[in-house]
Amino acid sequence: MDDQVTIQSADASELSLSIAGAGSRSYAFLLDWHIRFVIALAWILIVYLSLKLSNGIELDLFTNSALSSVTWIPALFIYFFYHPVLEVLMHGRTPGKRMAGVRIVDTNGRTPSTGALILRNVFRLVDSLPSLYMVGLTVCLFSKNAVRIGDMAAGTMLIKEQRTSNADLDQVSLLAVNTHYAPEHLELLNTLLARWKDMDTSKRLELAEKVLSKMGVELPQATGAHIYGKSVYEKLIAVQQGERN
Amino acid sequence: MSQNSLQAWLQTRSGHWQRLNELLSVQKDKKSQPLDEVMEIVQESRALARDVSLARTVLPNSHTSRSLEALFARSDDVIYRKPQSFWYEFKKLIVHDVPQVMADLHKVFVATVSLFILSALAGWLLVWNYPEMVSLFASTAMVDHVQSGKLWTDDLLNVTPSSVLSVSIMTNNIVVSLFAFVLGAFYGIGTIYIIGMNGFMLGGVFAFTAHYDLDGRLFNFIIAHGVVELTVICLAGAAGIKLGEAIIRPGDRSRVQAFQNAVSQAAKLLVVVSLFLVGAGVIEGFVSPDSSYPLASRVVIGVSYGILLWAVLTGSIWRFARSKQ
Repeated sequence: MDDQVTIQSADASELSLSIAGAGSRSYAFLLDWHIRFVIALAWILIVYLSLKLSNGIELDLFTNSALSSVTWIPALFIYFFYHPVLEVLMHGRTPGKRMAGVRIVDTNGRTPSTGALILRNVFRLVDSLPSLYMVGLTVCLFSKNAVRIGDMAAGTMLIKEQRTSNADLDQVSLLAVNTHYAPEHLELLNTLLARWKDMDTSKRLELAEKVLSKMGVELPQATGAHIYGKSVYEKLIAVQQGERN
Repeated sequence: MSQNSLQAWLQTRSGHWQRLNELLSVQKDKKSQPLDEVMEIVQESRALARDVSLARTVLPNSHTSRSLEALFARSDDVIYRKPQSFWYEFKKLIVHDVPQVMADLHKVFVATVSLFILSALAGWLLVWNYPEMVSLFASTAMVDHVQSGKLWTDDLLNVTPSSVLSVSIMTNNIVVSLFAFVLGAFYGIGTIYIIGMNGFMLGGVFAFTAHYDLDGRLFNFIIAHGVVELTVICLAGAAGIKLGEAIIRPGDRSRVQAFQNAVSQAAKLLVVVSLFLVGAGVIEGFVSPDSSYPLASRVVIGVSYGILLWAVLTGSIWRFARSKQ
C-alpha cells in the first residue's frame, strides 16, 4: 500500500491522499523532460530551416550573433520555464505529471500558491546537483512524505491524483438502478471493471470468473482464449448494466 | 443499512454527484462563473461531505467511496482556492513585506558585505604581489588582452549587440544570485563560497589591471551597473546565510518549518531584486561598454540606481511618498 497522508478539510472531515514516491516523481519528470526538450528543439529547427529556405541563410548556431540569440533564447526559455509556468497555470500539474497521475499540493492538500510553485522550481538548482537530480532523489528517498528540498522549502508535496470521471459516477449510480444483485457484489464488479485494462489477462479472467460465480451468473460458453476473454468482459458489462440471469 | 435504503440513497444522490462533477469540469476553463453555479457547487459539496462519510461506513474501501472521496477532494480544492490578484499581492509584497524582510536581514547583510570586501582585499593582495596568480580565475584571452594594454570589454559591442548582451548578462546575474541564495541550503557554506569567490575575483582582476594601468578604465566600465549588481549579490548571499542559519539553529520551530520560513522571507526579497537586475543588465549592455558616456554620467547612473534600489528595499521611498501626500 502507498504511504498515506491524512488531511483535515475545512469542515473537519478527513481526506487521505496517497503520496507519490521517487518512482512516480521521476517518471513524471522524464515525461516532462521529453516534452520540453522536443518543443525547444523543434523551435530551433523551425528557425534554422525557415531562415535557410526563405533567405538562404546558413545559420551558425554556435557563434554569438543576434540571429543565433533569436534561436537560442526562446528555446532556453521553453526549456527552463516549462515547469514553473505550467505548474502555475495548471494548478500544480504539468502534462507529464498528468500522465503519471500525480499532482502538487500544499500541506493542506490544496492547490499551492503561485509563490510556492515558483519557489519549488527555484530550488531545482540545488536538487539537480551535481547531476541527474542526485541531491533531490536522495533527499526524496529519505524524507517524510518523499519530497525533495524544493518541496520542503515551498511546503508542497506530490500526491497521486485521484480523478473521477463521469464514467466512474455512472457506475456508482448503476448500483442504484440494478436491484437484482447485492450492492457489495456490484461494487466488486465495478472495481474489477475499473481496473480491467491495467490487469494481466489471465489474472483478470480468473477474478471475473470468481465474481460472476459469486453473483450466480452463468459463465459464457466460448472456445478460444481470445474470444472467451472478450465474451467474459461483455458479460461483466451486461451484468453491470442490469442484465439478469 | 438495509439493501433498500442503500439503493434509495444511491438513487437520490447519484444525480447530484454527476451534476457536481459537471460543474467542476466547467469551472476549470472559465475565469468567472455565474453566482448561482458557484453557490450550487458549495451546496453540493457540503451534501457530498455527508455522502462520503456514509459511503465510508456502508461501503468501506470500495470503488464508490473512493470515487466520492476524489470528487469531494476536487470540490474542496476549488472552493478553498485562494483568490489570485496579482497586482494586490505585488503591491503588498513591495510596500509591506520586503522592507520587513530587509529589517530582519540587516545584521547578516552587513556580515556578508564585510565578507565580500575582505575577500576582495585578499584577491587584490594576492594578485598585486603575484600577478601570474590571475590565471586562477581569468581566462587566457582576458589575460592576453590586458597584457597588450586593452580591456577585454573594449571590443564588446563590435562582437555582440547591446540587446543580446543585456539579456545574457541579466540571466547570468539572476542565476548567480539565485545560486548564492539556494546554496545556503548546505548550512550556508555554499553561499559563503560564492560570495567569497566573487569578491576574490573582483579584487584580483582589479589588481591585475592595475599592473597595466587599466584599473581606472575597469572602474569606468563597472561603476554604472556594478553598484546595484554587487549589492544584489550580497543581498542574495545574506538571504542564503539566513537559510543556512535556519537549518543549523532553527530556534523554537522544527528544522523544516524554520527552513520554509527563511525561504519564503527570502523569496519575497529575491523577486524584487531580480527586477532590479533586469535594469542592471540593460545598463551593462547599453551604457557600460559604450565609450561615449563620460565617467561623471556613469557615476551618476550607478549611484542613483543604487539609491533607488535601497529606497525601494527599505521602504523609505513609500514613506517619503506618503509624507508628501
